[in-house]
Amino acid sequence: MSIAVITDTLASMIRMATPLMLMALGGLLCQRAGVFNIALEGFSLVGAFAAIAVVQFTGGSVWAGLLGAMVIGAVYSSLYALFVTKFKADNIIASIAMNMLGAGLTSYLLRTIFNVQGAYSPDEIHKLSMIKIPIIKDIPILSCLSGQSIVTYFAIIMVVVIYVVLFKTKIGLSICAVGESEVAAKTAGIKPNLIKWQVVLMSGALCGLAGAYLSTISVSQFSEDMIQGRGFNAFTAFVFGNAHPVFASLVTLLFGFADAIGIRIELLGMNISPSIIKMFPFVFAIIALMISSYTSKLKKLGVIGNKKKKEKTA
Amino acid sequence: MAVAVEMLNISKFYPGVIANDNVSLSVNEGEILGLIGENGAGKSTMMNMLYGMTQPDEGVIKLFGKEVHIQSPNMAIKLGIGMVHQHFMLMPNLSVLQNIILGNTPTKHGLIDVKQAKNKIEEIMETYDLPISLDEKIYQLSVGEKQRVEIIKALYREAKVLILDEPTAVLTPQETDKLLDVLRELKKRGCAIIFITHKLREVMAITDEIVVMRKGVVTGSLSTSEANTGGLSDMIVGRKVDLEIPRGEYQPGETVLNVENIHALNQRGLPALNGVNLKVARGEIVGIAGVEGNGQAELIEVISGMLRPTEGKVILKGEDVTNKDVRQRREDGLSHIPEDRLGMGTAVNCSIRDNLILNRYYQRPYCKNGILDNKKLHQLSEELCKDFGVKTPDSTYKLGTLSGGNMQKVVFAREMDANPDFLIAAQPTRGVDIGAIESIHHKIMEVRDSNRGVLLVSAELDEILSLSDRILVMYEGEIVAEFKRGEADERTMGTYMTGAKRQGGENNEE
Repeated sequence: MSIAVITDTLASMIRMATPLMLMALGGLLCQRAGVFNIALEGFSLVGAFAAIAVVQFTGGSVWAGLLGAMVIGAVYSSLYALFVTKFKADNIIASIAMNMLGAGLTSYLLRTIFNVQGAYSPDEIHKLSMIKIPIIKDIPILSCLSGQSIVTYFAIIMVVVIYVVLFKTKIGLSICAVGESEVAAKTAGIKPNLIKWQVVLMSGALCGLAGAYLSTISVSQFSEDMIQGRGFNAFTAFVFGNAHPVFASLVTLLFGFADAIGIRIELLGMNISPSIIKMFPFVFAIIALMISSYTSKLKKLGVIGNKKKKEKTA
Repeated sequence: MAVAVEMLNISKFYPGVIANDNVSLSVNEGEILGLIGENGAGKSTMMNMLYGMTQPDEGVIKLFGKEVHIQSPNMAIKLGIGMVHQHFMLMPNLSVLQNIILGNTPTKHGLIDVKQAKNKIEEIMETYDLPISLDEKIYQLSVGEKQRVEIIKALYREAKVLILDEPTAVLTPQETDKLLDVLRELKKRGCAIIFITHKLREVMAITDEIVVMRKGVVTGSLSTSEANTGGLSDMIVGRKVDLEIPRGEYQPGETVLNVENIHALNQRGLPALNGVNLKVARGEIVGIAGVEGNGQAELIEVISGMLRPTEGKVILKGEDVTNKDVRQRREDGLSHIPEDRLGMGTAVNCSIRDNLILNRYYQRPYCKNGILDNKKLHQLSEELCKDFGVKTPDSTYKLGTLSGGNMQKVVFAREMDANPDFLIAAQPTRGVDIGAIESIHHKIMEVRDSNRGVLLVSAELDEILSLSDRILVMYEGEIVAEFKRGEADERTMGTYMTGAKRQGGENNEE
């Protein structure tokens, strides 16, 4: 394989990973605060629709679309936050409801607002130009980092920001505390529900942006069920990444890589059925979950990690 | 000295229950108040109101003379109230430092100022002699160390009033002594302390004033100097209590249980028992003392047939039962009161009747050709409830509706009705109140006096000392000491429990 092909594949990997990364960041924030959020799929779908709707009504502004998607994603997620805090709903059931509502709501609005079924492209859309980074763009292989969209760079910055927030700030400590033990956090003077609201809204905004990326940057249209399981892959990524922003993002890159390779194989015409290739990220996800459950089991049993504890009990 | 806390005419009502009825108490600066009473007497509700977890329906709370309405723990903390909860309020996967600064975090440029926090905590540790490593995760700590973290946490928030909810329930005698020293130091520095406990000896040792509660009201309020343990326990229960359980003469008969050189692994696959030998004869109670997690749980599982040993033999009534399963052993005359009452001892969502018959529902006459005889079962369960004093209107109620003490009576009734030759009683009085403890102790003594064997495993040294004919101390999966009744006191046993000494070992001084 030539360097050009490798670079191209890696660039594609990053593009594929961007929405996953945003969703996973939102998901892991919730996870840290003890909210089991598998509604990432639904949040993103609403975001994807909102972006296209805003683009349409602002005469083609993708910027407005991205911003609008974040706001509407957060508004939509507030419903979920209400369910899990005020009404103490089962997190999983509420997530499923949010996913189903998202699918139904977007296809309903597609019909009532735009009077179409299946998919809609706005009349006018001013696509964002990709950002070329000087110097890096001329380095072989590394140049895959250049020429990405603003959302990708935002996602990478968010990885760092969320890392710092979670592990170096007061609010991060409160988030982790609520996730560890709600009662204990309460006695320390923290309001668990307030924290949960914050992380859920944040995940709504991040997922909204992820959806907008798919509908306004990857392509220029909204189609029904266009998230196609990415929300669940993002979930897998942050579980496998131990709800750590850096590790979770690396896992999303792995999934992005699987996607990218799949497309390359298809393009090269290697006589493998496209449906098998489309399975790649999911196969990766299953393997990832198996590995993570196995290692966490070993950890629990004290076979790996917890060196000190092992010495104590042995 | 100035009054620190006054809780005046406090009442708290829950649907159908009066948790507190016109209760008043007060603590001065530099004074320790002992708050005692049975489970459900309303002590915790009082303290939860003081700590802002819930609000009183009637009455006034005053802090340093000023009336306050404490709406949340956050507010209580700001007012200078600290609480060490019975169930530690710590995050197992966070570090000691993070746990301490949680909710009161110093920051610099928006980030946590670790250095400032460390300095402040180290100063506290030094002043009160409470050493602990700040970077360790909570799950790596022992119970005593966890409690130390809780106390440092309260001091870090500059608590002037400190509430301790049964702080010694989980400590060894040595750790308890250490805690009492810390409390004395706090007292000297003007801290007002409210100390909730079941252990009257500690109340007598450390408090200045005592308030006794029962069924939501104050039944006694007196100075420690005027109090004695007998009087206090009568006030707690509301009637005369036999602290001494009458016992027949010690006449050990034939050996009913013989455990030979047992080795076993725990759930993590690490050695938990390293060659345990013990015998229990008919007509005796053998007590096993030890800090939890030193192999007691595994030993019970091996004897009852839930865990296969890797080496060694279990002999019940002269017959090797090492390879027999639980049901066979039970049919051979073994009964077992498990330490984990909710998980292992009962099925909480089943009826009391079903729970009473769990160990022999398949036998005649309760079951014929696979069909249960409900009439007979009902008759039996009603009788058992009456005999064992289970307080319930009807045995068809769910077991979960009962209090801890009554649940334990159900377990007891079931295990005793099987008419065992040998009884394992693990933590039989954990979490039950003084009244129920008394009746459970009487039942255990009855088993012994009717010429059957009892193996008693308990974390309560008082219980071990008052009931056992022989006492074995377990440490790290071995029996490190044996005493006859009356030979040992808490202090000497404590040194064996913590591994500081062992009989027949290199540190032997006896």
